[in-house]
Amino acid sequence: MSRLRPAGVLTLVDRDTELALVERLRRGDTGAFDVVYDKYHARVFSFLARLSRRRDVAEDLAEETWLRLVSRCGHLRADTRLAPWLFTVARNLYASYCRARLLEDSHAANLIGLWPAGARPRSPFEETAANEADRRLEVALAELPATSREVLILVGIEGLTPAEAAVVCGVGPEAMRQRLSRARAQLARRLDAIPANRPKQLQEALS
Amino acid sequence: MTEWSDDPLSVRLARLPGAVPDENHRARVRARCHAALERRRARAAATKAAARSGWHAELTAAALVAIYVLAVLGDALSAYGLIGTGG
Repeated sequence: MSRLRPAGVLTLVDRDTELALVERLRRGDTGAFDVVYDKYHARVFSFLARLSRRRDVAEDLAEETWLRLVSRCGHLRADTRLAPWLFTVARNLYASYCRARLLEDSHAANLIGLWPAGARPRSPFEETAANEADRRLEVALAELPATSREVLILVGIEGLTPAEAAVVCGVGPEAMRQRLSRARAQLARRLDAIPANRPKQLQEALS
Repeated sequence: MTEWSDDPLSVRLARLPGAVPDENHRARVRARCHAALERRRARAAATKAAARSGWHAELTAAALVAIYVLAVLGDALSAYGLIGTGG
């Protein structure tokens, strides 16, 4: 993953524009699809890449997310919020992927026998993070449990409001507030545990 | 959630760069979605046309039935001498 979009650039859409886009999408307007695709594709892809830590998986799931939008655009509610809708579909697809992989792994383990678990694969972001501080942050983020990681990605990186992230994760606002607080504390602890300016130890943590 | 947005860690997270998808992949997904939208439009148009042609057929059948009933009624009335045959 060698190309990165500029940090902190979120292509958000104002509500009136979003409502108009949804209306056009409901009619199957290709132009509206292009606008939505251009605004959200990189964000959906980044979200999936950070969740899965694999570019190929993120590409497949992002593609499926967009095909879902196209197949269901006629059934969108007029007041649909596009970012939460897209992230919800992407998250559900990732959950299905994990379930399928777990099943495959368990079948494989039954056939071949147990073997030692390998090291966690390095996230594409870890490999290309621009500087040491970013790299440490990506390492710490990638090591978090999935539930913590996803709320930090949604709210902290992708810029969703906690209320929108609650919708995406299928939890209530209070549960989201607690998850976010817990995730933030976990991230801070992980960051403290990764030594700064010690490339050798960092390499070990990354590999 | 003011405490979150003011948090230095959240600021650092927000500044992390995002990934740019591969351009070929981006184009392929767009093309697949366009094709799916086109198929959807074609299906909708076909359904609409079928509904319209169905309506036309029903109207034509109703008109033919009405003409037939009127003709039978006319024949019956003239047979009983209730209306003139015109001859």
